[in-house]
Amino acid sequence: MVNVPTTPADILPFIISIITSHTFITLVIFPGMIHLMLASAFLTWYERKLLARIQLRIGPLYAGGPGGILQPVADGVKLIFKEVIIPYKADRTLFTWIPLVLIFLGTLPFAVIPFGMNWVIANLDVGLVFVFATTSVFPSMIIIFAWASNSKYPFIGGLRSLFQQVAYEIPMWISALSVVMLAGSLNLVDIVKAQSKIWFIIPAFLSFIVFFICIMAELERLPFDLPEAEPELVAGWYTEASGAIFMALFLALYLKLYMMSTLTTVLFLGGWWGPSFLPQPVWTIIKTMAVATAIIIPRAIYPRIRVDMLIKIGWTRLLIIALANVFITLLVINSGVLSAWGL
Amino acid sequence: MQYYPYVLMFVVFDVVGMFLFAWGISFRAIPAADSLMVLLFLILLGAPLGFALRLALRRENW
Repeated sequence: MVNVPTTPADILPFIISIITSHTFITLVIFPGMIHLMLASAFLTWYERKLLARIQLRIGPLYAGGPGGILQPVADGVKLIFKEVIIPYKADRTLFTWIPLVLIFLGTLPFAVIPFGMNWVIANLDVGLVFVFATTSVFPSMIIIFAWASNSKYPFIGGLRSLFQQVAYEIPMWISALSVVMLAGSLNLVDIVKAQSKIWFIIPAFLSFIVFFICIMAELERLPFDLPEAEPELVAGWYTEASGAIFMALFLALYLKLYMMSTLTTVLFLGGWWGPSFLPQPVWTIIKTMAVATAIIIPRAIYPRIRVDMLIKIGWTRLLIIALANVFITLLVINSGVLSAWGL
Repeated sequence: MQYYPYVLMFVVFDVVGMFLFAWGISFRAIPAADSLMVLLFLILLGAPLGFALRLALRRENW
């Protein structure tokens, strides 16, 4: 409880009490804004470095620190000072504001995603639904941005993005249903607590596979990066983005990558659970980076699939597997096989 | 895939997904017979899914 200052002498203690409060620390420092900005910047460097290593290149090297780790800062400074070019007859308002909305949507799910028992901003009972609700707004914003660009390539990329994300959203939800059935809760903290004895990747392995493929498609990552297919669409739905707008879009995309990786960790990989020699949030971050690595690596390995194949896989394979998996999970729970682990 | 089966499947399964979540969090607390109804509901959903897939898998529709 913070007391509101009544005299000038109380102002400094009041400010200190706010800054040192758990709410302020979780909201602003960790797992809040500062952590998210640093994590998304780190992911841009990490992806470039990892892909370079796979392709026997050096990658970022000269921009300060070991391995050019300050490359994201250099990129950020460059993009901020570049001219923002808004296409002829583009909708200026939407073109300028949608990137900020996407950043907001990328950060919002972290309000309910726990990094430790007490490292969560809002312990919401419907946390999982909240995360899915916020992520499902992404495709709408992307198609609006693509339309606002008043250009053919972004519009085709935006349509592809919409079709792809809609097709893979439902298998993703239904695969997460197995986790909800095992934990008996939509609260993400409760879901992680239920994995204290066994991670859900073991009893719900099929769900994990479906979920992982779906997040690859949701993130438009290879082999599902049709919305930004360079040989066909220049850069897809963000072809016309430049300067600070391009930076904001990239920040939003990497925030989404971090968010999906963290969500996978929380749902299937035991969240913060791990040997006690490391603090809980460190385990969450280590597992998240492992998932992010698994998402990034295919970019250096696989070719892009065709659009009809992509939609067909989503609707005719993953959806049916996800639905069948509901029955399998029900059978597994009712058979009592998991009773030894308290499930 | 053509627009019609696409929209049909999305609307059906988007709504169903939310119902299934409501069942998923409470199925341990309700009698097994009630869960059977949900499973029956899921099997019934196979009809629109099969219809949509039949439309979708026609070569000329892709």
